[in-house]
Amino acid sequence: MRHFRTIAVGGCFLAALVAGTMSDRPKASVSREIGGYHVLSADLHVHSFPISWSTLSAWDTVLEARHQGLDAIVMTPHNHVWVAKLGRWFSHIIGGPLVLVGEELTSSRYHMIAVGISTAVSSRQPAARAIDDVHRQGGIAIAAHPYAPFQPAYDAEAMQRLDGSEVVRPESQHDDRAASELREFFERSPRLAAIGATDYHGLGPLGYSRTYIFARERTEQGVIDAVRERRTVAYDRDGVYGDRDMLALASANGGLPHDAPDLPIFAGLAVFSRIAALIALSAAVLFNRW
Amino acid sequence: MRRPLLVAVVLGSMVSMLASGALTARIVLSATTYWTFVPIAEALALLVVAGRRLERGSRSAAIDTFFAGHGPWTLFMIAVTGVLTFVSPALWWTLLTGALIVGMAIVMLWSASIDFWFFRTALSASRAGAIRDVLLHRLLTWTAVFAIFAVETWTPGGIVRELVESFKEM
Repeated sequence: MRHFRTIAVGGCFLAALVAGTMSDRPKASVSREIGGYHVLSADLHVHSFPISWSTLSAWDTVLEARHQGLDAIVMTPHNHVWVAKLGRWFSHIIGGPLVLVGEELTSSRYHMIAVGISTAVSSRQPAARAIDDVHRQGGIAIAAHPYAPFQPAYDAEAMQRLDGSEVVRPESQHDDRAASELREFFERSPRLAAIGATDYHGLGPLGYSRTYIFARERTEQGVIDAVRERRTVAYDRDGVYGDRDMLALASANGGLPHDAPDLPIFAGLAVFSRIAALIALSAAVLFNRW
Repeated sequence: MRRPLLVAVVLGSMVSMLASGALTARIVLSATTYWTFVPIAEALALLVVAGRRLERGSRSAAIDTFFAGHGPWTLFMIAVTGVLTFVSPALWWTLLTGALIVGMAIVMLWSASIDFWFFRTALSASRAGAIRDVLLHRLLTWTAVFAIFAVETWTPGGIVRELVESFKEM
């Protein structure tokens, strides 16, 4: 009886693994050249394990980004940069995608993405001074989820310095109030680059919300320069934000894909894999008398 | 050591299903490896708490028995993953900050009661001693796991600050 249970549980788990691996097909990159620009699909707010509330390691995150057809990601550990540097090192070894070293500065007053930095910037200072520190390192600063409670931290001084703002996020594609708060903040200043980002913590698809970056070169510096010069486009559920010239250029050249990626909630093999795995693991726990 | 190993495999499988919606070899193998830090932290905390009460030859068997107390957590994680992978992401935050917290409170008590009886029977602890053992084990394990998972400054102040900020954000 015991052997039968072991074989049944093992077989169920193996079937889940085979079905899941078969369902796990990589998505093609949509990267192409339009009007002298490299149009890169990027997610500019990505966390990884450890110490950033994420489940996937730096190397698994990089592999996941490639799997999702992303051309660039910004790895943004909370208040440090070493995990991002690990991700960039791994990306260099496997040949991409582009990984930019970043940081999410988290304080009780604001959260901010620093992109293209080499040492961590302190969040224990007013937003304007933190942005100055980011700029001194040659980086750019993006307001992360600037919802109402975080907006007062971005005073006039900070708004003059800020390079971009998250205007499309996964929750804003389902929640009208979230979408309107992000839009209201973004529209405060014409100087802000439009950013779509997932704020990835290992749940759901990386790149669910993304930014199209019109870079002059396919390099980390090319990405930074493009955001600094606001050559970005981000699609919402029923709208689009960003540089009108770049949008017109993209439209004249066949447009850009802008549907949110399919969620594998009810995709055949993936569903079978999940159900079989949940049964196998529950049975393993119960048969093992916990 | 079957139970600690099972905990690691369950964690790796959960990570895969939450990230890709399926059990994929590329994530399960890798994630199981680094998520072993959870059962390792629990086993080390047990060795610290039990100290000399655990005889050298019986440590492996005692650790395996102790992990019976992880059963409610493991089943809870499986249930949470099952729910999260079948509902729209629009509902995730509501579930994670509502039903999940209520479920966690129940599982916490359930798991603690199993561990309490482990210390009472396997280590012959008194009632008060078993309660102290459970609390100390939780303090050591949860601090270590939380620090590795979420905290960039590994000082008591850093850990408390991160905890306060995360409650505020919720």
